[in-house]
Amino acid sequence: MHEWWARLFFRSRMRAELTREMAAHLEAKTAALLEEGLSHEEASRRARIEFGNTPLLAERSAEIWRWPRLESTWADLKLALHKLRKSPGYAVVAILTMVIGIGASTTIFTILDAVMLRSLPVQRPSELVSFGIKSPTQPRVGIGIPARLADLLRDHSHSYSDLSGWDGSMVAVRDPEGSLRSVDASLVTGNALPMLGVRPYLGRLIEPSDDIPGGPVGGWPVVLNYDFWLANFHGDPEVIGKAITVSAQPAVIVGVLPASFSGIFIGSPNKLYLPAHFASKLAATAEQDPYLHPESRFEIALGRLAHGVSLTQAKTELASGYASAWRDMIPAPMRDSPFMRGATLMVSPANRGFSELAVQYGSSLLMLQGVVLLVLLLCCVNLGGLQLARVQRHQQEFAIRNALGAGRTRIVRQCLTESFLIAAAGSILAAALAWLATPTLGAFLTPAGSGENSVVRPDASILLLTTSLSVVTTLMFGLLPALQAGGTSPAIVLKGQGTNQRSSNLRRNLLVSGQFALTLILVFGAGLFTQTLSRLRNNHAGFEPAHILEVCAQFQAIHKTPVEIASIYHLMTAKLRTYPGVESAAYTWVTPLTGFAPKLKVHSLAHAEHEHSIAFNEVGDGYFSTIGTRLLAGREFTTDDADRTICVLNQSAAHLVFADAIAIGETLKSENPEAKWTAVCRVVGIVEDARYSNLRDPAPATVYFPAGAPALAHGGYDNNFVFFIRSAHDADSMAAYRAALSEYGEGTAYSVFLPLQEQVDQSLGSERLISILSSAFAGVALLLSGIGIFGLLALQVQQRKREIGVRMALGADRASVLRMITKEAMKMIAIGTLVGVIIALAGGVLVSRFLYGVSAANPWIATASVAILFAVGLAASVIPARRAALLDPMLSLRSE
Amino acid sequence: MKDRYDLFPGALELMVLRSLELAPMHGYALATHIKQRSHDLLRVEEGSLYPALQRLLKGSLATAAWELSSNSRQVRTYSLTAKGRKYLEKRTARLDKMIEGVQLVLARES
Repeated sequence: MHEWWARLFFRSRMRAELTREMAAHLEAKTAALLEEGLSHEEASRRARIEFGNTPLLAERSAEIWRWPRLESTWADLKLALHKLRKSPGYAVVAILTMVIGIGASTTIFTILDAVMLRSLPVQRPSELVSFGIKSPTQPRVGIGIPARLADLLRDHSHSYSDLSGWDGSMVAVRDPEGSLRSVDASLVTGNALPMLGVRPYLGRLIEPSDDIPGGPVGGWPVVLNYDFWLANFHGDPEVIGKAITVSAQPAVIVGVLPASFSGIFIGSPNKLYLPAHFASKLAATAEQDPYLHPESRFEIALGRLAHGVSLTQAKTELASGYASAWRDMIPAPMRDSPFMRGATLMVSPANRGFSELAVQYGSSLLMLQGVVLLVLLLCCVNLGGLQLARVQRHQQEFAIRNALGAGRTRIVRQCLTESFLIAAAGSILAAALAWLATPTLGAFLTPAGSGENSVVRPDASILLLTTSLSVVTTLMFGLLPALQAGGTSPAIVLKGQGTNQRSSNLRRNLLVSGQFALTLILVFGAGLFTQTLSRLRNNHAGFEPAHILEVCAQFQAIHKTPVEIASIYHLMTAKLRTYPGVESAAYTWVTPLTGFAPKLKVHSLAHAEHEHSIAFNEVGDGYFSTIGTRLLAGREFTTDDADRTICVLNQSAAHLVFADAIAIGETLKSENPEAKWTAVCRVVGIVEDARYSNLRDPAPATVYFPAGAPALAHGGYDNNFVFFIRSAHDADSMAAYRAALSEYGEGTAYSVFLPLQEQVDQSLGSERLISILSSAFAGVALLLSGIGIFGLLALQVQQRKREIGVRMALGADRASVLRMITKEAMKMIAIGTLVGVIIALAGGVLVSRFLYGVSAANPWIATASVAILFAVGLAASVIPARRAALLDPMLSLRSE
Repeated sequence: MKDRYDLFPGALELMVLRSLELAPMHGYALATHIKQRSHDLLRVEEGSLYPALQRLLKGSLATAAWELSSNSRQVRTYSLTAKGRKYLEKRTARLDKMIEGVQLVLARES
């Protein structure tokens, strides 16, 4: 090590030593010659002649210590740097091209990685497993299991070294301004955090001794998420031991989690962690206390496989030992539901935690990854073309170097070094770009109203990725030109015009055509996705989202009966309507476009045999006029309507259940295995169809019930309805809500105000992401293709100077030269777009699932894309073509 | 100035190592020693000696240190390392075999 160091840094000292040593040698030699009787002068002369050239000898001796390979690489680097500095325009374009290609790929991959691939930042994440119930009736596995089952597994199974329970709830805490705010909390068993092996950033974790009925003496211990601590306690380390109030319960902050760990639910970081027994305190009634009714308690169970136990072994044990036991632990009404028919208990890897984002955005992200890879390919093709042009321009130089004995590999290496320098510079900037762009794009995935800026954090894998991409791209765009340069035959080039020009021109024409083909695919795709987004965005028939502010009341903290809470909703709505600026206000159980649309089986009295499964919702008085759903017949709900003896149908539901008969006044019946949902109701109104769970699916047949005490009691929605307040200015709505809340809902927390329009946009998160990114990439692709064809034509004009001169001397006019050059360009573009269209049409199948209201083979968008490409190509070829047309034939002929 | 006899690669290094086995020496002493030992058949050129010495240093077969010579001059003295000793034994054994073989082939059949 020491010697290595010395070699690197003390080479000059070593050379000095050698010189000194040789001088001593020379002296000794001279002395010996003197002894032989030679004259002083003669001895010194002979000694020097025999010894030879001292500096050269020192040099040759020092050379022994060199790393020849490394030093020639260093020389390559210096030469490449010099050459790039000599053509800064090319260097800038090339590096920017790489920044775009590598930066875009890295950004999308980082998001993909964070959402779908990354393991939790915990100890040995590969040992983590989760449990779930897979029902043939549902595409997705339900991740909640009965808590008693989790206890059974923890106590009796040999497959797990530990098993913890997780549950979530909204709790009320004071924000820094002193208002009560509703935040997401994880209620965890005492072993949950220690089991993960997370080290607290400050203080301690929730521990087994904390999770006891009634909580430990001194208040409920609370562990804070790092970001929540920063935002609410300004990163104050003195926060440990601070007493706070959580949902009216005394609590004490005991720890802060590290920044790297934001819970096991990817995309929805929990802000607080409390012992699981805290759930008893959140229950409005004893009946709802999960610890008083353990048979109905569900939780998400996270286990850690015992040492040496494989997932397969755990699966086998679960299937053989618990196959019947677990069914008995499912609460009775659910046990008989269709969901449970053929359902199985599963254990699956949980190293990545639970990612709702992966389910929601996974396929979009994979598709975008495909798009950016196309962009990267395009960047490489483009750079390859530019490099090839440079090689051709410097053919003479390569020929001379070859003739001087540089050797093919040496020249190839030199060219690759130059490419690598570009790719490396590009990748460094790309890493910076990706670091900045990741959170921005990640914001598209953030759930509406979550208050999070971005759920995606970039990490060091960015650097790893950009570095490897820089090597890959170097080979992709640099190898062909390098081989071309290395293969330059000195004899042919130095003799005169290279004869291999035609073949290499063909190769470069193909590169340009290839660029246009790729660009067409990108432009066409961008057109389709943009059209999809605009179709979806204008698709909220049935309601008018503008100027509506949505806020979820958090009345679960008020320990009152459903009837009392229902009256609070009535009073608050009435009060809200009296504030200045508020046009209307109402409340609803389900917010549209959240992806949630519960269903109910109904039939008419006349045709009990025809059961229909239709969507339902519970809404307050004035809901339809507030949200902008038109009433077609009958009436809306009024303040007097409070239970399920009446209902309003939408058009589709009326048509479905009552066919063409007049539905108003008819009776609708709903019988459900879960008796609490049974209803017999008279239809009092018909409203227009309104989209419900999302904007893609057509409005489902829907029945609306008056939102009242029954829904609060049985809705399973924590006693909460959502207020919709319509006013010209959001500030008016917020002021009104805060005032009304302080009057009627004292002690309850506010949650985030969310414009309904934002909810609409958020429900289109992946469509917006795809549309914006694909348009941006299409723009970049157009620019790159323009540069590509410009570069090629400019070079061709240069090379064909003499030919053009001859043509002009023979009488060709300027217009025909202009035509000749542009025709060349158009030919390349035509081939490219044709290939592009064919590939785009063939590949339409891959993207059709992302489209809405537009076919993957839409002829209008295809035509427009082709037109755009030709326009760009024409614009880019005008300058070189004009340069050709303005050539002075005399000058260009004389220069030969 | 030509070598009187072409040496095969590595031969000079072996001779230097063998000389150093006797005693640590500086460059000039090495050159004289080899010349004398070979009865003037071999003459070591400085142009070959110094690169060879650097190769020995690089391979840790020899070490060098500045010392005062008998006539109190600063000279750089080379000495053999354990690794160099082992290398020398191995290589000379191999060399002996090779020369034997070459001589057998070259010998006129009597």
